[in-house]
Amino acid sequence: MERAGFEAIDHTADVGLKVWAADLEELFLQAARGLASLLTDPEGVTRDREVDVGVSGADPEELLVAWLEEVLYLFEARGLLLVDFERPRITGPTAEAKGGVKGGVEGDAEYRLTCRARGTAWNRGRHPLRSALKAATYHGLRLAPDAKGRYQTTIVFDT
Amino acid sequence: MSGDIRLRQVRDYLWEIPREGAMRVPGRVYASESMIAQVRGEGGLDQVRNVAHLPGIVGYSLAMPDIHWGYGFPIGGVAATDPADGGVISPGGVGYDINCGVRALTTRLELAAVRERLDPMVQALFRHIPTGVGSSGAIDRVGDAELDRVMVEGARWAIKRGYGTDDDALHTEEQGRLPGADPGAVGARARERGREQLGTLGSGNHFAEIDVIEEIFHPQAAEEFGLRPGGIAVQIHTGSRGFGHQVCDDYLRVMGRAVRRHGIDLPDRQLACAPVESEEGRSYLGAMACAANYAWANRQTIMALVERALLEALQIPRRELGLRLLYDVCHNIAKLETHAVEGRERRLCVHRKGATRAYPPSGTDSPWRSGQPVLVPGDMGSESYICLGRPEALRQTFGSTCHGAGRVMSRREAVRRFGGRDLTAHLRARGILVRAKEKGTLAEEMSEAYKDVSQVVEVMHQAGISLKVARLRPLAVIKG
Repeated sequence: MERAGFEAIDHTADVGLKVWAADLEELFLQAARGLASLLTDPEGVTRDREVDVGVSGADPEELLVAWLEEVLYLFEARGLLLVDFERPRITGPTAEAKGGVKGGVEGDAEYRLTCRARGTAWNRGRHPLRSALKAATYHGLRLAPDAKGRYQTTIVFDT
Repeated sequence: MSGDIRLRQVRDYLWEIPREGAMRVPGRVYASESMIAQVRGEGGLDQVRNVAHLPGIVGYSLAMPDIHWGYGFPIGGVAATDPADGGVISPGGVGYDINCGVRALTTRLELAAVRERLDPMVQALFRHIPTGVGSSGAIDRVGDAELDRVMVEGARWAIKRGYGTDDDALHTEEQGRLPGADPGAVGARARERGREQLGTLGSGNHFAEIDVIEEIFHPQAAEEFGLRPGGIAVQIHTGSRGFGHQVCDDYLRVMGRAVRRHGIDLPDRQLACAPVESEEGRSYLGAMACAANYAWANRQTIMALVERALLEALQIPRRELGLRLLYDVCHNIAKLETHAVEGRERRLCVHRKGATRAYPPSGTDSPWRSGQPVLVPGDMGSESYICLGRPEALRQTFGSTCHGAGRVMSRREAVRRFGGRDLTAHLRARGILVRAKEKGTLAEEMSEAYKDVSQVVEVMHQAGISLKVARLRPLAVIKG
């Protein structure tokens, strides 16, 4: 097995993504790449749009869901298909990271992620959809490093 | 997996997972012997057991025969909690597509008269009803104040705008308007997503379908419902689109914190919940009602678009088409309902995640004398059923029954098996016209990926919970 990567797995009702990496930031990178490849074939998608994405969460699991939900939101609501992600930057609990949760819902966010990502305006004809994913779930989601500090998890997407 | 789960047969078509560990109640699953073997092979039973851990759960953690592995709750899961006893509400027990549901319409058309017109009919539906990922623009974008009215008034908002009649609201569960909607509990992003998606089907397994009524099982109810062999019916299957998804996502975060604040111990994070009688619980109920009402406004609007499309395709007067709403049910919802438990009336929070309300004639808001129509759509290319709620449903399942076929094959497996085929041609050869926006995802919905809906419906029929009234065969489908 490679040091870091992702693999789609079977789930009866929905779609699963197994992700592994040597550290947390790499895991988030692989998860976003995996999500992009579940949506469409990233090969041949032009990278003419660039955005800086920022999300927050109370713990790494919530941060991961928020991160993937953000990529799905940009796709579904804004028609922006992101396929190319730089290594995200994740900051742990700090005093100034509190507050400012998306969606107008109050919270006590403590982890923050920022990432520069590239892609293009989704075109149904040029980028046929592989799977109409709608949401990243918390089902069975656990993010804890093993003895060597590596991470592995499985994310179930609602379709 | 569920292989190690203890299961005992209670009687024909009913199985029990005995209470053990931190389960607060036993689990109960409706299934035939052959189905239960298949269900054991995947994660659905573990999820029935997990749901039995919810604080304040009453009676049993239930699963209908279309049970399959979901996230948090199983699909086909029913759980009632008692708010007066610390009972919780869980967004995961409702699902992302809040008030995903089905609306069935009857017409005066006969198959013999429209057989040669099906192609223009399906093309017109495809033109009038936006489908697919991010679909929008069916009607003018609604402003913020208008969206507030959608959230509070539900189907009635659409009716006031000229999409349908007051009679339609009477033929909708909760009359198309769930009380307690609180637009203030809905976040900015949900609003943003909601503004443009009214009157759209979306993607996945959502569809609008022209059917022929093929067989009648319950002549008396069928007559009252206006169902006759050879008659044409229409089904609409969709929900609250991106609006509901965003409400669910926002409140999973809120509930994640609530779980810690209220010291609730859960076996799966997707079950995150809060007491109904807490700030978080009330807030979610208010936001969820907004999404439920949005979905009813959506299906009401789509019904008007269906009428527009069919009139255009057939070039006949409205009266001749005779499009009427038989009924509209939701199958992803949590509602405060009164149920008799051990002889005592209790106000319960009933979660139906891929399950349909099935009320008998008494105590229902349905205007039909025979009982509440239950709509059980099949998967793409297979038949659907119209059933009838029975008193046994109130005694056993908090007035609930199955909602569809239930998947047996993963989406990826379906794509592996059928992905290379020309599915539109395959279905056409079986007499079904399909127009789909995302052709790459069509294989996911192949009927081979689902349980046989006839068997699912049969289990609940034999259990006396919902009776079969009529079977519908698909003729033409539009989907995302």
